[in-house]
Parts: sequence; structure tokens; C-alpha cells
Amino acid sequence: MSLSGKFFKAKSQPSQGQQNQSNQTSQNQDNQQKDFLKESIQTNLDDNLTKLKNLLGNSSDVVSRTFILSGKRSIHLAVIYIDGLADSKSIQHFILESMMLKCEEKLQQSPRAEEFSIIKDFAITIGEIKTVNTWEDVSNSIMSGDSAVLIDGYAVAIITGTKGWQDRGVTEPTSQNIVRGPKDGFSETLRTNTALIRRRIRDVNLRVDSKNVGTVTKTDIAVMYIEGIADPEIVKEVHSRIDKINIDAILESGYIEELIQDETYTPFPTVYSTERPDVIIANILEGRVGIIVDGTPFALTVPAIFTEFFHASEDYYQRADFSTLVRILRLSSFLLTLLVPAAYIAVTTFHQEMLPTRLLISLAAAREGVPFPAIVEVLIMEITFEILREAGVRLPRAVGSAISIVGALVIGEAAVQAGLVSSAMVIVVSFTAITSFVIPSYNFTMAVRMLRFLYIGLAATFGLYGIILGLMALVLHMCSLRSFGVPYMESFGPFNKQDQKDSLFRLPMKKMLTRPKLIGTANNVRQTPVDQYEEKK
Amino acid sequence: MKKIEKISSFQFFILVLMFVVGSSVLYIPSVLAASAKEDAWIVGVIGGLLGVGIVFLYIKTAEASQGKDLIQMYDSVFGFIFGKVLTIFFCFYCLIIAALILRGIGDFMLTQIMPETPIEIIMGLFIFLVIHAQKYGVEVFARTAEIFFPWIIFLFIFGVCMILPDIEFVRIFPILDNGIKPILKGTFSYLGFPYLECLLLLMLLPYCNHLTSAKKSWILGTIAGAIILLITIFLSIMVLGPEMTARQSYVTYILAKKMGIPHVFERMEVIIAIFWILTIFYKLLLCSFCLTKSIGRLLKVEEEKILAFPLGIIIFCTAIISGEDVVYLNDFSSNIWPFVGLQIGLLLPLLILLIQKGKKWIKQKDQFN
Repeated sequence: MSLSGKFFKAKSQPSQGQQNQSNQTSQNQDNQQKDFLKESIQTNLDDNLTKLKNLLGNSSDVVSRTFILSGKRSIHLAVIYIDGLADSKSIQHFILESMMLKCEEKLQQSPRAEEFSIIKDFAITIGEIKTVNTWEDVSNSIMSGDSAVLIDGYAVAIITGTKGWQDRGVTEPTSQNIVRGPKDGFSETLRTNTALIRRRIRDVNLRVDSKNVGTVTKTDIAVMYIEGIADPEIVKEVHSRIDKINIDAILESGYIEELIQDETYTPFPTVYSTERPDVIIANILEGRVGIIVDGTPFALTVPAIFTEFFHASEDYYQRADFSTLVRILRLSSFLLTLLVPAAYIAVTTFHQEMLPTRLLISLAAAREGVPFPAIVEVLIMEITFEILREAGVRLPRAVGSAISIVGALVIGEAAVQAGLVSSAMVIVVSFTAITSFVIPSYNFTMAVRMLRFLYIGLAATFGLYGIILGLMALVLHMCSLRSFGVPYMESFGPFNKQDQKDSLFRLPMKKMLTRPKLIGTANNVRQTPVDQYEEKK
Repeated sequence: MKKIEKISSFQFFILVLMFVVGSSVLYIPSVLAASAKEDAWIVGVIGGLLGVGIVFLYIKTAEASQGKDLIQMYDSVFGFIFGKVLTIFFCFYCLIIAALILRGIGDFMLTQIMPETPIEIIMGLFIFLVIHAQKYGVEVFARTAEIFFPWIIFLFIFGVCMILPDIEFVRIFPILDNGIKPILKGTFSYLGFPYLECLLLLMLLPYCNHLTSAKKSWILGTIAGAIILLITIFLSIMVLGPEMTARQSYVTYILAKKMGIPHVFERMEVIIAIFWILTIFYKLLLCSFCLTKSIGRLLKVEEEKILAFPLGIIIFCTAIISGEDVVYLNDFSSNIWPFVGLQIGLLLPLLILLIQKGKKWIKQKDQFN
């Protein structure tokens, strides 16, 4: 013991020292860079360009174009932008061309003191423009696709909005399909996404608060809400939670979702995510807060409650009675997909008396050749199904048919014929699988997929008693959850009569007079009753 | 800052209903039929009315002491030392109710549904869930009660509808054949079992956000519970007859065995058992909650939730010890327990009410002089 202890000590000491040293040097470098970024720009153009080159390194996509204008003196200028992020056409037309061709005359006529304002206000024909004077602002603007114009003799840089990169464009969403309703989906560009929302809410109170998260990726995030409808407390909470994030990279809205959710250790999502603009818009109109992250088509809304995950945007576009029916179907599918395999085990091993005699006999006959107890049978089939599903998700399209053949024929029919599982079991598993696809929200389905195995275990050990106790534990857990202060099971527990109009049921539009009570209560009148209006006439 | 937990009047209504119905729905018909025979339903009516009267007394007591819970009432009315002694009595009262309920569900599961599973496991799982629920706090378990409420109502109505074809009205006749005495005896034990135990709810009342409507929902909850019990008594007598009812230890379970649609569903008793498990769960939860709360008050523990686990273990052990002898237990619960209930559930609250009224009266008199 003591020998090995010594050995480890001896070995670990120098490496620790080395690590410290290397840490220190890299920290020093970091600090130097930070200090430099805070410095302001110099007047000498050549100095500035060398400093910028030091900062950005020898990257091949950084374009730095220097040119000369001849006014009362010859003015040296430089335009710096990143190829691919900035729109080179607009740089060419509205910066280079207009400066070189149109403003020399004007420069020659006017006094020297005015030359900066002529270049800024007359020559650059681009809408978005601002002046900055620290290296930090300059580098951040360049990195986000803008271009910086540096002028010899002035300690400021003119930042022009020239963002323009290749975008996938607004296409149909792939994860949530509907029959009736708008077919556009979010894309990977933040601006496109905010525009999609703004295009349909033409209200001056729609706020878009921008944030920048991620120390390395510096990802743009927009927090969208309607002032006067959204609860200011929740908006404040969203802002403070996002501001608290200090992480190197935000690559998808899933990062934000995990970092701002109320409860980490729960299988249930407490933040709603979708790539459908109409869903986000509807949520924002109900007083929720939307969070849109650059680089992903998936936007978030908070607070999210349990029933929300069973709503599809189509519910509001088709008849109310049918939507109610479909919602009840979804909720029962949720219970079925959670409990059917467990109930099968419980009934076949503990409570055979529950089944009618004939059904029991046919079940027993089907299970006759099966060598395993029901629990093993269920686990084999459920795990196989999960594997098949996981294989199918990330499959190249060309191989897709192979999987379905293997899944249907080999595992389904052959397993039954070989006597590994009973045919009733195949029915149970396929039923479970189909019902799990009924839930409209993909991330909610994942919770059910995980919990199903828990209930299988409980059913195998305690029968229906175990299932009931498990259900009670589940409901307890779900009731304890909150999403941004709003109870997760809102409108069922705490029961809220007003919100029943749009939770399990979907009342006709004429009856939906108010916004859900759970969020902002200040301004919750949605419409004046249509019938009343007619009476007045 | 510690957040103050609050429950709504509707949640309180549901909890009261569950508390009255929980576990008594399983035993009451046979207990009453044993003494009152065909007239058990009369006991149900009279007992229910008296029960509501008792709850009314509790409400008056609560009104007289303005938002205090029971332990605080004891302290303020009887003084420090005597108040503490009464608190200890109350703790034992809660503990014994909780232990009996837990033993009840254990025995029921063991004898009727899962004969091969050890009772310790069945009870252990149940008490574990109760402890778990208590850790979440009042607000959360009141919300879960709200979610389970429709299930319970649905299961009850479903069960009643399923059993309706089997009833025969002849079985409740003759009325009052045995005289009034057995009815009174039945009423006595009926009061002791669910209604006098409602005293425990005085510990929960201060959590309600609107006290006045909470009092209304307490009365309403008791009435609803009494109606459910009455329907169960009616059904068991009319379906099974008084002799059969008196002989069974789990009458409603036998009743549930008779339900079903031939060739589609038969033997629905396990599904109906969900109804009992849920109601018993909330009753046990409330008892355990009161126990934790009053022990917390007694020992001046700020964060009472930490007591939930050790007290849960104590309830579990008491349940194991108490249920060794079923004959003794039956004797205890029908002949001894009502007297304990009367003392702690009727005499003491009455005394508290009178003393507080008296104090108020003296105060007013002083003002006039």
C-alpha cells in the first residue's frame, strides 16, 4: 500500500507541475488576448491591419482589401470581412463601388474635416451601419458576417451590415407533419426564424430581445414575447437564466433547454420545442416566451405544461369536436404505450382470473411452446423493438427497406415460429410501438420509452399492485415538477375550470374567450363573444 | 425564505372525501351488518348525519381559534405542560390509525390478491410511497389527489353500474325488525371509524388558502364520503344479503368479484381494488402527515419533512406488531377504539370549544364592565 502510494505520489507530482505550468501559460495568453480586445483602435491604418492580422491569424477566409481614395489628401482605407459569411456582392456594390466611383468628387470639393462623415453618411449605401472603437466590437462584427471599414487617420471602424450566407431556406418541417395548416418550418438562420414569427404577429408589442451565449461560439439567441401578454416575471426569469449560462458552446437549442430547465433529474421535458413557426406563434400569443437559437430550426417556448405535449397545431385548424376526440385518443395512447406490456405481464402471471376463460385458453395455447416466463419474453421483444427503432432513425435512406424486412419478417414472424416468443407478445409490442407514435411531441415519447421498462419491472414483481403504486409515484413526480414557476400538471392539478377549454378538450373557437390562466393574467381576453356582437347589431 | 404551502378548497374537498372513504369502504358494510343486520343502511344514514354534525363541531372549534392547528389549540387552551401531554396522546392516536390502515391494506393484499408475496414487502412498498409523497409536501400531494379524483369517481360509478343487475330489494326487508338497539350500537362504531378520525383534518385546515370556503368543502366532502359509504352499504346488503355481508371481512371485494360483463370482462375486482388502494393511500398519507406535523411541533423541529422517514418506519413496525392477532384486532377496533375516538375526537374538541367561548365571554364581560 505504502509503496504504491509513494509511487503514485512520485509519478503524479511532476505531471501536476507540468499541467499547472501549461495551464498558466495558456491562461496568460488568454488574458493577453482579453486585454488586447479591450484596447481601442489606433489612428494608423497599417498598425491596425497588423494588429488585426495578429488577432485573426492567417485564416484564409479573412479578406482584407485596402484601397485609396483621392480627396484633398489620398485616404487609405481597408475593408475587412469574412468570405462566405458576408455577402460579397453587396460589399462590392455598396461599399467598394460607391466609394471609389461616386465620392471622390465630393471629397475634393468639401473641406478635410468633413471627409469622415462623407465616407460614412454619403458613400456607404448600406442600411445597417454603426461606428465602434474597440477591437472586441470589430472582431465580433466581422465574425458574425458584417464587414469593417477602417480609415487611415481615424481611431474608429465603420461596421456595415453585410450578413449574407448560404441558407437552407424555409422548407417543410420534417419532424412534425400535418395535413391542414401552414407548411413552413424554421431554418438554421436566426433572422429568418424571427422574421417568420414577426411576419404573422404584426403587433408593435412583439419584443425580440437578443442575447449572445457561448464564450467560443458566441451564438445569437432571441427571446421573443408579446409585452402586455407575457408575464413580466417569467420574461425576467428567462433572461436571468439565460444570462447565468457560462459555457463555451451552444450548438443547438437542446443546450439551452437543458441549461434553463427547472428540474434536471426528470424524464419529462419541461421546455417545449418545435420547428413549426405556427406553434411558436400560438404559444407566444398565449403569453409564453419563445427562445430562438441561431443554428437550429428547433425553437423553444416556456413555460411548458403536461397537456401541451398532447396538442398539435392541427387541433386548432380542424373541427373542435374531432380535435377533442383526437386529444382523448392521444392521452389514452400515452397511458397504453406506458402500461400495455406491464399489464400483459401482470395479467398473465398474477391475475389470470381477470380474463374471460376462452381468451385465457387461447393465450395459454399461444404461450405453450415458449420456454421463458412472460417478463423475459416482454423484455426480449421490447428491447428488440427499441434497437430496431434506434437503427431506423439514423439510417441512410437506401438501407431503410432492409431494416423493415429484417424487423417484420425475421424478428416478428420467425421469432414466433421458432417458439422464442408467443404471437400475443408480438401483438402487444407492436401495439405499444404504434401507440407511442401517436404522441405528437417526440421528446415526450422518449420519457415514455424509458418509463415503460420501469413498469415492466414493477408488474413482474408486484402485479397490478406494483403498477398502481408506480403510477401514483409517477403522478406525484409529475405534480412536483414546475416549469418556470408554473405547475407542470396545471389545469388538471391544480384544477382550473377556465383552462379546461383547451387542455383535454378543445372547445369551439367561439367559446375560447380567454387566454390560458396559467401565464399572464393581466391581459387575457382573447375575443369578444361572437354571439354578443351579433346581438348588438 | 421558506415558501408557505397552500391548498385550494377543491383540493381540500377531495382530501376530505378520500379520508372519509379510505379503508372504511372496505370494512364498514360488514361491521354494520354484523350488528344491525338488514338495517345497516339506517345506521349509514344516521351515522352519516351525526358524522356531519361532528365535522360541524370541528369547524366551530377551528373558527373559535382562528387559523391555529390542533396542537396549537391544545397549547393555547390547556397550557404548556398539559398541552404537551395531549399532543403526545394525539400522536399516538395518529400512529395507531396509520398503523391499522397500513396493516389493513397489507392484510387485504395478502389474503385476496397476492397470497405469495410477504406482507412486509407489500406494506413496505406502500409506506415508502407515503414517505415519498410527504417529502414532496402538501401542495404536491393535494395536486395528485386532484388528478386521481376523476379516476376514483369513474371507478366508483363504473363499479356501481356493473353491480346494479344483481341487486334485490327484498333483502333490505324487514325494516327495524330487531328494534332500535342494534342500530345504536352500529352507529357507535360507525362514528368511531371514519368520522371521529376527521379530527386529524384540523391539522390540514390551516393550509387552505380560503378558510371560509374550505370549511364548506369540509362539510361537503364529509357528506359526499358518507353518501359513497351509504351506497356501498346498500349495495352489499342488497346483493349479498345481511348474513353474507356480516361474514365477509372484505365485503366490497366480494361485491367486486360479482361484477363484469359476461365473456368480455369478468372478475373486475383487481381494477376496482385500484379505488381502494388510492383512497387508502390518501388516508394513510394524511395520518402520517398529521403524525409528522405534530411530532415536529412537539419537538420544535423546523423542517418537519425530515421526520417523515423515521416516523414511516415506526408506522411500518407498529403495523407489523399490531396485526398479529386478527381476532384481537377486530375486538379492539369495534369495542375499544370508538371509546378512544370519543375521548380524543369528541370530548376534547368540545372542551376546547367551550373553554374558548368561555374565555371570549369573560373578555366581553370585562369590556362591558
